[in-house]
Amino acid sequence: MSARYGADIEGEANGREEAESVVTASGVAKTYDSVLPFRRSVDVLENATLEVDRGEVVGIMGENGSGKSTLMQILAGVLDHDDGDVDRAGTVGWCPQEPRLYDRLTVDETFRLFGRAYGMDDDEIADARDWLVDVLDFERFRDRRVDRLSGGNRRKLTLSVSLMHDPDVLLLDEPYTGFDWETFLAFWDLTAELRERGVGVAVISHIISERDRFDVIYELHEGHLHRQEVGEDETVDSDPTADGASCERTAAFFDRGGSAATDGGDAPEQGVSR
Amino acid sequence: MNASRRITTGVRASTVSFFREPLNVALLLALPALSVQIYGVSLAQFPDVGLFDAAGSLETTGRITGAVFATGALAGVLGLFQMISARNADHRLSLCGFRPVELVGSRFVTVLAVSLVISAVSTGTLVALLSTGVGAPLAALAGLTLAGLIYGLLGLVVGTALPRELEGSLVLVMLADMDNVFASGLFDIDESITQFAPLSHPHEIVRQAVVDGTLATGHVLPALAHVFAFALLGVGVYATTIANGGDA
Repeated sequence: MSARYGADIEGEANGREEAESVVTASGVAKTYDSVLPFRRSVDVLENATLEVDRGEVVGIMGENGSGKSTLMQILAGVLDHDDGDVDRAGTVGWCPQEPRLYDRLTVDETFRLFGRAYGMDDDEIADARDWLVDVLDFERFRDRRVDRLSGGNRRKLTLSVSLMHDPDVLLLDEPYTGFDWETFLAFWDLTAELRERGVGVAVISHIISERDRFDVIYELHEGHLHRQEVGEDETVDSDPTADGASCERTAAFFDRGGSAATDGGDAPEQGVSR
Repeated sequence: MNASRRITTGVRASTVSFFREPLNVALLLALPALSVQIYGVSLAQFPDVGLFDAAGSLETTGRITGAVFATGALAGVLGLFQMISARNADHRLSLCGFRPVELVGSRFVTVLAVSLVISAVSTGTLVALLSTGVGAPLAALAGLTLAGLIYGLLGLVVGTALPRELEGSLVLVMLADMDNVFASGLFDIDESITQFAPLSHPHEIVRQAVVDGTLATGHVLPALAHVFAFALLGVGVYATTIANGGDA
């Protein structure tokens, strides 16, 4: 099943209203075959099963080289898998590990280009851009070329591109590498807010101390996923961890025009057409 | 509506990306002038004793050959660099909603735009440096644009299949050099061979435009056929690359 990222899907039902699970993977297997003789193939995933529900923050952990990014790319529909099934309900936002942006475009031009790809109009692009550069605090770099951004700001832009079309599920591959502390906290505020609004979020993380921010954690070990429920008393702290302002700004973005619902059960009307 | 907006935005983005790089602009302005001058001066050093099979003077033939080489090689290398720098981002953009055909379309229009600029610079250089003048400047511009377009598309193909700057550039420059030798008409090579040299038809269009002041209509269609063939090849290789996540 191919992933839907937003463009040209007018008229389709909104996944947030229809399905509890926004991404389901069952029995997924992936082997990297060598095209050269005398080089062995690598079995990365074997019978990997995972589920991301709407309004759920899922952590994917594992040692280096365990196949987390491969799994994420398969979930995002970027990479083919050899066996098993992957189902997605609703639109996908994928934040890859490497930026995959155009070096010589500015931040504003990048928003415009990817916004067009998502099928957004000028106003929708401007609204999403203003919200994200504000929440992630890189507004002053809007006119700067991507190749002249710091690593952290490039990461913010990469994350923003995956978020700007208001997807139903966010698949984030180590999204906060290079973030300063305030932005790191703002990121988790944003994640909490999106979670409240029914967005399913899957995050690849290496940081053990973040475990209590997730509802569910999947440990990837030798190609197998091991699910761990985070206890009720350990669930995500819904209080803002930065200054609280980023949550307000996110709420203002979704509530602009008074058309968006705020209870997490209904889909906002803005952003990309569904 | 969305498709045309996406293509327009894509073309603008890749054209801006190209002209925003100072090295690209410097090469664009300097390389045609250098090439036209060096080829012209070099060939003019040879005594005209029938060693070469040139229709015009050796200096004129040299300058024409230099212009065609500079346009082809420069467009090719820039097509290559464009593809190498953009392949991963193109893949992400295609996931976000850009159809591969729209992306390919954007790349082709960009190659055309850049080829036109390179050809205009090369034509201007020819007009400025040729003592005999250029008989039909617009026809010369058309011939050089076809040379740029053919090699710009070839650059996209090489950049997709061989995404390495050094190796890809070497392949393109060597191809353009050999092709240009066949196309120049300086050596009496069998036409059954030279007709397959991609630059042979654009070269003849430019030569007739400069020397005779006419448009070599018999060479326009074959040159366009080369453009079409490389465009088809480019679409196939590019679509495969995008489908494979930016990896050939």
